[in-house]
Amino acid sequence: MIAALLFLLAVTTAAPKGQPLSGAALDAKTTEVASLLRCPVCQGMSIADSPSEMAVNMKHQVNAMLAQGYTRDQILDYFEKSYGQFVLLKPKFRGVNTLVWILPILAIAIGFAIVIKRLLPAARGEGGRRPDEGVEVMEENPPSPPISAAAGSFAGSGRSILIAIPAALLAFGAWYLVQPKQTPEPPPQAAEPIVAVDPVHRLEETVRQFPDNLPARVDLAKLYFDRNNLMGVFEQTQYVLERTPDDPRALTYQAFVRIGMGQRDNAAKLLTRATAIDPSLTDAWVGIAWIKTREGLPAEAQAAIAEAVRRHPEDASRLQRVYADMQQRKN
Amino acid sequence: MNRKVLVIGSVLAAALVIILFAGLGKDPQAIDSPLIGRPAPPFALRAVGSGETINLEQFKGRPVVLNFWATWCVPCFEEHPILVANARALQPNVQFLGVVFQDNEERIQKFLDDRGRAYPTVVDDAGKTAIAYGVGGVPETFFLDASGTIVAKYAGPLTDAQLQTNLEKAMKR
Repeated sequence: MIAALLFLLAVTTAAPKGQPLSGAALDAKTTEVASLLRCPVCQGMSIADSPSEMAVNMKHQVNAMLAQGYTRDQILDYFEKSYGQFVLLKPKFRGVNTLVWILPILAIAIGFAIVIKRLLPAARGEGGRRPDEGVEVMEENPPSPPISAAAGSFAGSGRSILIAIPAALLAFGAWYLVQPKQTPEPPPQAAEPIVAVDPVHRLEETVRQFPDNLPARVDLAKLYFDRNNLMGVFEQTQYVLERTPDDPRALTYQAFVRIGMGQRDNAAKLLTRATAIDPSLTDAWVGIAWIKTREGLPAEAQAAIAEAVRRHPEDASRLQRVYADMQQRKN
Repeated sequence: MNRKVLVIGSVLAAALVIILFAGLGKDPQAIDSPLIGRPAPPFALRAVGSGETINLEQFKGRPVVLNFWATWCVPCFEEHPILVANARALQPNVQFLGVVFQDNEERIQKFLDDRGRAYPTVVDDAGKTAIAYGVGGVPETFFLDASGTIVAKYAGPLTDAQLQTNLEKAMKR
């Protein structure tokens, strides 16, 4: 109770500026605000999209503040005070960020200016030779005074263009920046995942939409492990094991995290349990072989690999390579 | 014209090199937090073991090393002995406090039993304190001066030298 109270004091000293929300309006607004905040432990995902525990905690925080009547801007300010502008998926137009908005426009404007400046002398040189302007071609003679005047006039208008185009671009940039920005729509519930190419993103999206899809969580744990994201492996396998403590794949990947943490005994117990439940689990046998190798028990390591080969003879050569690699790494 | 382009190009390239060079000199783990220079967000959390409530306020008057960690975090294993050794040497003049989040108490107890304890550890159940401190991952360590102001933040496992350097900032004020 005291903790909750102190936390509320920490949240902000300002009073809520909006109306407390509840029910469907609260859920919709939570998703809207959450989609504007970056998940600090993910890669470019909002906390609305991320299944990570950190993002879920942050989303609960957004929900609690909206229920108390804090507005979107107050909530974004609160997170910005803790995490800095990094947490805002859309950086604000201020400070160093101003450069991010202005530099591209400026670069385009300068590019235009350079192109026109380069084209101008060429255009001036050809000005007297264009029959459609009613000027006669006089190769030997210098251009007559009216022709020089025409060229000069073109040069004058070129200089105006040099100023006008960058000015117009800058004006457009300024106009764009001061436009009231529309609130992004909450992500549609049944829509196809936006990033469907990356299997991690696809599984993260599946898990977000269907938190109790345990096989998807185990698959995600495997992919996280492949990408060396032990925290992700831990979170996903923990979720699965709390619901189905005998899931052999979850036990296996949880064991891998334990190996990473130096808890070899715990890992060995988990892997033994996993292979007892599903003896065909190659990853679990490889895990056991790794532990035995580290413990200086090559015969037992080889026995574990042999068991995996017996179950999956089609995988024999790969498993032998894995075993050889283990023995090398041991040294 | 070419000379002008050369001069402008050289100036821009030199500016870029200076910016990059300045960046190279920085420790990438020393994160600029918007909380630096501001009062540390208050909290009152349950202590592991005793179950009593520990309030950050009670440590006002001495520098505090506030370490966010978890038992599933491999780098936390590396820095734990350093924190314990420094806490044993510096307490009570400097207060060390561990905040664990996304974890369970049984595992925390086991970790501390196995690896030693020298200062209180509290549990941040819903991660609210971590959010208030802008914690993105563990370990992250905040250094508070005697008035309760955050003077430094370090992301990643601390070495003895890094701990001492940051602690000096907290002691100076």
